[in-house]
Amino acid sequence: MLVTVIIFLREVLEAALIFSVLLAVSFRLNLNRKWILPALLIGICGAAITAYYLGEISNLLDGTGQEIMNSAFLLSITTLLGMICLWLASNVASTCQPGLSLAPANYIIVILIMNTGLAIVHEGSEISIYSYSFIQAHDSYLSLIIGGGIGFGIGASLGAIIYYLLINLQTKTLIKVAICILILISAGMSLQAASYLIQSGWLPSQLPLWDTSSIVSERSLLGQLLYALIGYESTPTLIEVIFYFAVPVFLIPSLFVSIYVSHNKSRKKPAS
Amino acid sequence: MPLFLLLNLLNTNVFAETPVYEIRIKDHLFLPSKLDIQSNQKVKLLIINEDATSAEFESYELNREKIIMGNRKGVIFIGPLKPGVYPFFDEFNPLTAQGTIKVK
Repeated sequence: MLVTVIIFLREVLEAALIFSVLLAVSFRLNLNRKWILPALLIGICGAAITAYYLGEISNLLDGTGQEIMNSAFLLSITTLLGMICLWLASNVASTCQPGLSLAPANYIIVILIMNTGLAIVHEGSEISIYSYSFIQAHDSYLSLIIGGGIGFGIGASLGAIIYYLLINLQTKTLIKVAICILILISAGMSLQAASYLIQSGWLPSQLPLWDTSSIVSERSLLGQLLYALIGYESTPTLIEVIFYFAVPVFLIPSLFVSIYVSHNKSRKKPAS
Repeated sequence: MPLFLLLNLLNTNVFAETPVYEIRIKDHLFLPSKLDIQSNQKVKLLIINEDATSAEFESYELNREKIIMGNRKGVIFIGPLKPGVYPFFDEFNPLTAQGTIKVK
């Protein structure tokens, strides 16, 4: 049952983390809340659909369809999170004025919906697959429900704690912390996508660069939590490391550019 | 889109060269449960799940995990690996379905 708990916890935590960060940011910046419900609906329906068709999907691309689909989800989420970070950064200047309500272009709403939806689809489909397979193997709903419930509960609680920690921050601090968390999550997902692509032969496989499993083992609870939060990998290969660091290396300068551009824009407009 | 096509081209070339090893899953057992492969070489594992229930081929040492549903096949690439012994198991039946890959 411990395995069930950990798997549910890991998947739920990944989605809950993204969701709580975006929720906190969205409330603090007075965004229109209309993205939340569509995101949840798309996520849950999408997860159910992909889990239902998993057999067919797996057989695509010479038996690697599942990995390719997952890496497509992960890379899309990474990209969308990057866009959200850029948009957040561009608003650092304007949030200096308290009480200012942001009216972002509709595309941000769409991005929020797609992003959260995809995250839920990805995690949800993994949970559904695991649950379906578990029930087949053990013919016992009870163990799954209890283990899954515990894992889900812990993951959701951690997400809620993070939400409340975030919502109590100053707006400017909140934005900075949110960006940091989102960068870490994106980097982790980018690495996971690389792992899937290596496993399915689309990227070359290599010897691992280092082995930190003696420090933090992937099998341990801490290892699994770190995997969910920052994509911890005890034996990464060069390509995986590249994919991981490509995210902050690309995003951080872009964030500064974004702040600079929006700062100049607000200077040109007279303060109202 | 062009990148996708290019990757697929690279893909087929690689498929032509890598050796393929079959591992069947029957009655929650891996057959064969011990595999010998060459070191420093990319290898394709074709996992055929002959049970009706799903199995998850997983190995921390190999850094691979994949769910293969009942009566379906899955493909996992491993290597190049350093010489050693790499255990793997079925996460859904970890007590019975275990195996090792010995790399020389």
